[in-house]
Amino acid sequence: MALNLSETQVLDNIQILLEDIQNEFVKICNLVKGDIALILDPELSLPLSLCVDPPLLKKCRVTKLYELKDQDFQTTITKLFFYLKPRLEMMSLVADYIRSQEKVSSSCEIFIVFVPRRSMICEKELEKLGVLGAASLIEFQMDLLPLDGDILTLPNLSFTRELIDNDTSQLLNIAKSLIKFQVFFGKFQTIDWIGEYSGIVSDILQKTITSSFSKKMENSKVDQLIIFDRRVDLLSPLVTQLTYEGLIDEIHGLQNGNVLLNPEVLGQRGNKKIRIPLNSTDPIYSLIRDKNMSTMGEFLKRTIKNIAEKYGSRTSAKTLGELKDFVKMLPPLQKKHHSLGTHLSIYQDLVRITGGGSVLKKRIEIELGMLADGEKHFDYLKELIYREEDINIVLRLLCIQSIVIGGLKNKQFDFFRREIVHTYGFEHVVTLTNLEKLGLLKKKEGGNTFNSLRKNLKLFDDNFFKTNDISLVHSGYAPLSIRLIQKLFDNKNGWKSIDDLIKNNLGTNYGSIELVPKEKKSQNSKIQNFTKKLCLVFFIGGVTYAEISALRILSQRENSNVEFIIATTNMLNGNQLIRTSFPEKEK
Amino acid sequence: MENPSVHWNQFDRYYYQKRLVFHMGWNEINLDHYLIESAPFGGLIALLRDDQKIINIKNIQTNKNCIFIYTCSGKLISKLDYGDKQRVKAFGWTLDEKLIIVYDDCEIVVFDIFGEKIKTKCITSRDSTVHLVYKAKVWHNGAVILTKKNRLFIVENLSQPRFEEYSVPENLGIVSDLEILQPKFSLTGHTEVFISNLAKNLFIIDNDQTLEIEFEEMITNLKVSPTGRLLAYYTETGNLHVISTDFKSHFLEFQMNSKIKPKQIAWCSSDTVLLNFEKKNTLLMVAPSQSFLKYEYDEPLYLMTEEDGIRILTNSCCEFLSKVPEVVVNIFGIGSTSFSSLLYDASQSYEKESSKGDEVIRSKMDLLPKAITDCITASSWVFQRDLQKKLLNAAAIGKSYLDNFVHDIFADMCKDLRVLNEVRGWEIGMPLTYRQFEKIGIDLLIERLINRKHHYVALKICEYLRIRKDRVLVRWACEKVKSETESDEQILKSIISKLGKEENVSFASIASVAYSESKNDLAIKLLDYEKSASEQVPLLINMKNPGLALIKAIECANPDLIYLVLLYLLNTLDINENSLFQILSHKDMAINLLIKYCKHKNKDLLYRLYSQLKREPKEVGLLKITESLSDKINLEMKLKIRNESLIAFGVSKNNFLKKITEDNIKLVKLQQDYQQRLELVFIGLSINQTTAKLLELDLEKEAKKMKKTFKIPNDRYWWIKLRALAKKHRWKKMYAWAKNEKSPIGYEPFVEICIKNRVGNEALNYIPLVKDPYNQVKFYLRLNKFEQAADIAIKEKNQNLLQHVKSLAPKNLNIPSHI
Repeated sequence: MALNLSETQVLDNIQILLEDIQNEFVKICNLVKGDIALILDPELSLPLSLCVDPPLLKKCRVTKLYELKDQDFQTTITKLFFYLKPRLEMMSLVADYIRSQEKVSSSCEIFIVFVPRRSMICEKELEKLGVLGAASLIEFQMDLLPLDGDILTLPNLSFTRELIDNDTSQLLNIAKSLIKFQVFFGKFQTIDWIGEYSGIVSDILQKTITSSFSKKMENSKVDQLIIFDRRVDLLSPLVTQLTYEGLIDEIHGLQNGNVLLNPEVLGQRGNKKIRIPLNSTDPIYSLIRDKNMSTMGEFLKRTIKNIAEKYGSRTSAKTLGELKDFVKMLPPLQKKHHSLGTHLSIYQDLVRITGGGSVLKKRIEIELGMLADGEKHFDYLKELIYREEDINIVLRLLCIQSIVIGGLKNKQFDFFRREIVHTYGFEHVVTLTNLEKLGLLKKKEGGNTFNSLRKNLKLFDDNFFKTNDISLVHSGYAPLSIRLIQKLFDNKNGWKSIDDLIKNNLGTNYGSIELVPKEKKSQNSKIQNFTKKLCLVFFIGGVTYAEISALRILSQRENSNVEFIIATTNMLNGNQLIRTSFPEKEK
Repeated sequence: MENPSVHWNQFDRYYYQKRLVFHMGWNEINLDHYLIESAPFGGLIALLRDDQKIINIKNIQTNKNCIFIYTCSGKLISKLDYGDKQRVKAFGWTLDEKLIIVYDDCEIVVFDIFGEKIKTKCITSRDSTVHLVYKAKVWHNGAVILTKKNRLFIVENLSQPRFEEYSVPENLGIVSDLEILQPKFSLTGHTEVFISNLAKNLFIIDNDQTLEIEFEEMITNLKVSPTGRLLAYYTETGNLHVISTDFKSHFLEFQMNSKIKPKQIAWCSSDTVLLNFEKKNTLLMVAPSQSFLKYEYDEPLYLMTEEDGIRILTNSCCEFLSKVPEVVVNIFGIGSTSFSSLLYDASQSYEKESSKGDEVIRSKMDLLPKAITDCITASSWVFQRDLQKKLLNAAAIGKSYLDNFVHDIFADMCKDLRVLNEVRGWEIGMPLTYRQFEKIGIDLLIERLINRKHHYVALKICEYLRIRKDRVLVRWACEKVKSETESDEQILKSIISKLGKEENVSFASIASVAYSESKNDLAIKLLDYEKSASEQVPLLINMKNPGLALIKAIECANPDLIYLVLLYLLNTLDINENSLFQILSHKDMAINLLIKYCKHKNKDLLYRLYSQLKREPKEVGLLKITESLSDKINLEMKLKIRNESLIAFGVSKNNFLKKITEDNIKLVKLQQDYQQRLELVFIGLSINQTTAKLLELDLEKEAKKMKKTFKIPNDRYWWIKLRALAKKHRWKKMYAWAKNEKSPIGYEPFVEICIKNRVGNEALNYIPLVKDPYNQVKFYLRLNKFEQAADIAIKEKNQNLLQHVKSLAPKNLNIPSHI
């Protein structure tokens, strides 16, 4: 299976992961003949859509698609595939359904497909419910899937609730997905990990790598793996993303690389939202996604001019050859033209929302003030609550405030918690304690650890336009997560150079493992000066679009010799992180 | 040395050789007294006393209920005790030499050759009737059972046995013979069953249909050929027929004119049929051309069909009858002029240091490569070592004339023959031909050797062929731990010295044997060498050592393994909760998983877990609150649970949580009251929402009460009221309120809310009350009141502001440009 690729080709070939999973899906469907009904765990609908599209469903003779919910449904199709996350609470639903179906028709062929892997505890439960004999159990190893040219996700595994519950049960699956990645792209040469969860995953990886790796995987294509535990930096996702892509995510929400827009944003009429795919195949988007909103206007103007000039070349084309060249240029030009129109509309809409005098602009100013100098904005926060603003917004800002000043004083702590519960409802007692568990909200105890982090890691840089620093993704705030990763490349000693900062100020641990002996490495890494090092960064617990942009900026710096592939359990933004801390109500 | 061809018999265009393989090592065995089954590929022989024969055996008592297992050389391996409760109806062998027994009550058991039960399967019926076997037949991977009540059951895969039932025709009657076509040969991929009866019918039954064929005479014997393509049957009047198993072609009819039913029909080389006439001790061989050959014996026979010939067993010896392959005929055949024969002769003259051979070889260099391969191939067929040597020597000499001959086939053949000669010896007694060896492969051969406890030979073969030997070592070690004479330390030491440095060794399986031998300490010590936790954990649980199991499971972060231990702990009665908590203490990964499990399965335990293992008691309270938020429970229950949480918050001295929960309980009670009085929904609203709703209903007094009860700060109250009034469009009331009381939140919110509700005139009321002149100007501009905006700018003496206003104002308005 291992491919014979150079480093740069790996990026072009991550689609193979998708093909592999699609083949797996076909194989599962081919276990039976005839029409198939899929019954999905509601939590799998979206993830599955990343790899299984309608034509593939048709090819696999899937004629019905249901979601497994409380209510009963019946189908005349006798080949049933239940796609389930191994969630204990779903088992009784499945069992009920299988039993009722057995009454209807006894000749059903039922498969329970666990995604991504079988789970003993669920199988025991099915056994207890007495349906184990009626169904065949299989697994669908939906592991890392490409979300974009340089982004991989574990779509079935939203790892945010786990951060709060300290639930480590998915770490093994994460490690297994990384093992599978190595089957395709060869062994990692080094692993750098930070945070407790990363340590566990790295441990599992190290054990498997030493025990059961085939010769084929010896040929490393990916030099380095960095595993980042989201809990090391939960601040950055809370900060408003100010790249083009990040802001679209903040305002409209990106899902599986698509955005749903109101038609008026695009200057169209109608009620139905319009789906726009946003990814690197869009020539304009790939140029502007990482740009800070304030520099976008200039950039778009230049691009328009450029395209206009190219169209203009038609009039200046005189010889047949020149005309031919022009015609050749047309299709990509038209694609750009079209895409440019879309992005101009989206951009103008974003400018309206974030422009002078807007609520959002004020909020961003306050936020940046807090991050830059630890400013206190209690009155503003209070007013947000009294105005009954969106609770996500309130909590994001309150948490940022708490972090930058090293916790709230007793009185303020109680005051804000009380005002929030009174205003937004009693259930937020749980939300607030969950935020405490995550360390996002706290009572002042001891010193302010954020100050020294900001100073030592230059978390704030006003000069980002000139320096093209990663801080441009938040108009001044450089994401802590990416600053930490940057340290691995900027300093020879890597994280050892900030040992004290990591251990005492961040209160976490880190480590580094060489998997390929040094002598071999120099052999392997051919002409180091010409090829960039390839590095996979895995975020356990999610990553924001702004952080990804920051990584891209890092690899585009003049002296950079590294290229990143980003892998994550899930995409994340501030609102999603806050929502995770809401209580899980039993339905 | 004599020419090998002197032992050949010419028969039907071919040469056949019947060679003596072994003189049997057993004493006083009369095959006549036994039912016999032998494993294919030169495998073991099982003898079961035939209780339909009257016999006179001295030690009849001691060997009751025994199946004797011998090698092909007649060396006793074991006496397998099959138990005294059931009768054996059929038996046979798997390819790796496990004995399959079908008992009279339809139980199928797979034994290893030393009598250990490996697998048991019985037909279970809902009405618990016992099925009794009428006829049964076993093949290497399955069995067919016809019960006395005419039900037909098939088991196809003995490693995962499952009974499948075929429907049986009603007119089945009394069965004369039963034969099966293995699933790998049938068109449907399912087992086909052939049954002949006394009523001259033949039924072909598979999973979904039955075919019935009527014959003119009764069929007494049925036998499918080793390739599954042909079926031989014998009729009551002594006719032998060969047809295809799809019943489309008829190949042979041979009239014996003998009413004696043969004891066995067997196949030799897939097209020739052999009949074993017990009473005459005659073996009759019939070719497709109807030519036949008779072998006379003076003792009873047993025939075992092999892939490439037939094994003949008698009381005194084991023989092998097979066709002589063409390459061998070409070399040794009288008067053969083939070049391989010349090469062979040439190599012989080399031995005599004659140069004649050289000339012969050089004469036809183009035929040499084929001749060399022929000699190599021929060497694979012969059993005598000196002849093998001569043939290989001929090949070697031929090879030396060629630069580019691929050496591998020669080297491989030498190696394979060495292995084969080893197992063909009397001691191991496995007369494998080279073709059989190719068919079963080295893995199965090693497996057979291990099964027979020939660990040393197996190991040497692995080392010689450079293949994985961990399997052999592990099985050796498993035997080793059973040793009664050595101490645990000695056993461990000798196992580690041999296996310690090997990769992929499953120490868990060795430990598991140690445990079943009640050597617990040894088992735990062995487990320490196991690298895979998924092997360690289940065994440790079995050994009732959940504490260690949990540690190992956590080490590899495998939730399944952790759950395995946890479920064991929860379901084992003799583990009380205290020891559960003790085992769990400080194992956060396990605790969190158990919590996750308990949230769905065991709420009671959940609370005890929290109070015992979580450091902060407030967690219990928070858990209760989360539970109380569920939509599934009623209000009364919610209040009850929230009241319980107060206790936890009290214990943890968490005043904030206690107070806020008390507030909520108070709120719900108030809401219940309002709900009753006003017949409107209040439950579920927050304090703000409740207050707002009361204000919207003009119940100012009640709202004030809320403010007091819950100590709503004045400014928040103003915001609530402001929104409530705006929502109900009570602009007059709002203005009166603003005039009478001084707003703690300024007047900007008033202006904003009016603008938002598109009542600009109302907004104008409040702009003068706004303190900040900039805001005043901003609001006036938003309402297009440019003159008022300009006035403010002038009043403030702010030239820039004025300029700004003027720039926005329509040209026709008379806005001064200077203060």
